Amino acid sequence: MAAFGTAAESGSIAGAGEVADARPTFADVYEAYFPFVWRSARRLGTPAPSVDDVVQEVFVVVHRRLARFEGRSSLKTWLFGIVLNVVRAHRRALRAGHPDAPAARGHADPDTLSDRAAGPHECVTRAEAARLVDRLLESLDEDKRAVFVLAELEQMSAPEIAAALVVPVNTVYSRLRLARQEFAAAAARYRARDEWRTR
Amino acid sequence: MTDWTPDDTRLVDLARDGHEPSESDRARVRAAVWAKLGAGAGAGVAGTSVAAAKASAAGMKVIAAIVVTGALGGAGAATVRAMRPAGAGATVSIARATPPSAPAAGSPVVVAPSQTAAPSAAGASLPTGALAAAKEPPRTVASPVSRAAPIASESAVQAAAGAAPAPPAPIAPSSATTPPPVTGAPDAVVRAAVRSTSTLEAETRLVGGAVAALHAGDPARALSLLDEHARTFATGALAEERDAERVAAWCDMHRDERARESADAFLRDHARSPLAARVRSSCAYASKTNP
Repeated sequence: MAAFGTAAESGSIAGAGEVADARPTFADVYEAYFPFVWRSARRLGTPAPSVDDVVQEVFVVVHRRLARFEGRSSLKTWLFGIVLNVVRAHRRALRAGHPDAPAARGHADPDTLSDRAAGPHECVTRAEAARLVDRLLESLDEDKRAVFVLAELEQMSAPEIAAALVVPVNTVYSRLRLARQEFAAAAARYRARDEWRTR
Repeated sequence: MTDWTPDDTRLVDLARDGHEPSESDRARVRAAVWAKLGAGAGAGVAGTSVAAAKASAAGMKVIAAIVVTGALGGAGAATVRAMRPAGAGATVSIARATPPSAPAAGSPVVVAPSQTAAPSAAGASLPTGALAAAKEPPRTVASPVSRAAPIASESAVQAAAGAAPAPPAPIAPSSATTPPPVTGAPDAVVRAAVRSTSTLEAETRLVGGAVAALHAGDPARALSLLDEHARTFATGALAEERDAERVAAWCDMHRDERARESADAFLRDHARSPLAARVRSSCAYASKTNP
């Protein structure tokens, strides 16, 4: 559980802390949390072609509801709840079957990231790792996936995650334990099959 | 059950920063969100916290900030930045003064008469290489930015892809002429990329090119680019910025009468624009009181 206990609120989002007090404007929230929303949408399994739509929809909802944000949870957990709902709705819509809809591939396709992995080799490697993680996350169900994403990738604390997902803290712990096991199993299978090597 | 291994830790550590949005993701989604919220929503979506208050009623688009950044000198020169990613040939980018995540204290207010740069303008970084690789004609599917720019014509897309000779390459020509192929990109992905960035990219090329031309001391060229934008994207996402730049272009040409006409038109059409203050403080009304 190394991921727990550190980097509680602002995590990797620079400047997010400044936003927390007073009344954040929509623009503040957008600026501070766009990367978080984007990452979360991807990590929760939004197919690459739909990430734009999902993120837009999230911010439309944020815009509508921001005035009613009560500050009982942190903005970040509040936002994650919205992302989760939008991703779910989107997935349902995909399942309901637009003939035109991109196949409900859960994982980001490696080829979609062509404009992303700019330059430094390290970035490429990170993007590769991220794609692989996306793929491995496919083996987790929705609940465990959300916990894993928040704990391992966002490095949020268990109480924060509990707030974001509206579940008891103990549930967070047990889901995370299972999620890590399943993730590790998927990774082991993957390595056995593809001889993937970390650098 | 399989145990968690150090390899897993390494993988997750490595992946942690691998989901970040790219500059073009930022620019594209921002434009779409602002377009959705901007019109009449009273969205307080200005780029800075200071500007947010003033511009809240205007439903400000941050693209405005980008253009302002480019137009008003200082750090905001339009630049061409070659990128070396897999596939992308070149990226047209309008420099921003400050990263969006770090709104500077004492940052200039966008609507102030002596603006310099809007600090949190997301860099408009629009990859042309990847798009140019999309040989397939785009299909008009429900587009995330369709509201922003209703004219998602094929020519616009071609312009975006750098395939059409028509719109002048406003910013320095890049190596995008022969973009490396994006191998194996699924059609759906390419289509999605094309439809979501093409229109805005084409618009940005024109208006951004005009800004660059103004910087380069070529207001006549700027005007022709702006006219081109007006013809192609009469009600495009950057219409407001285009009309504001037009005022600046006439001013640069010392054609104060024309500047005044353009400024009057701007203030009539975009009365609540955050760019209005800039227009009012332009040469158009230099010798007269504000309208």
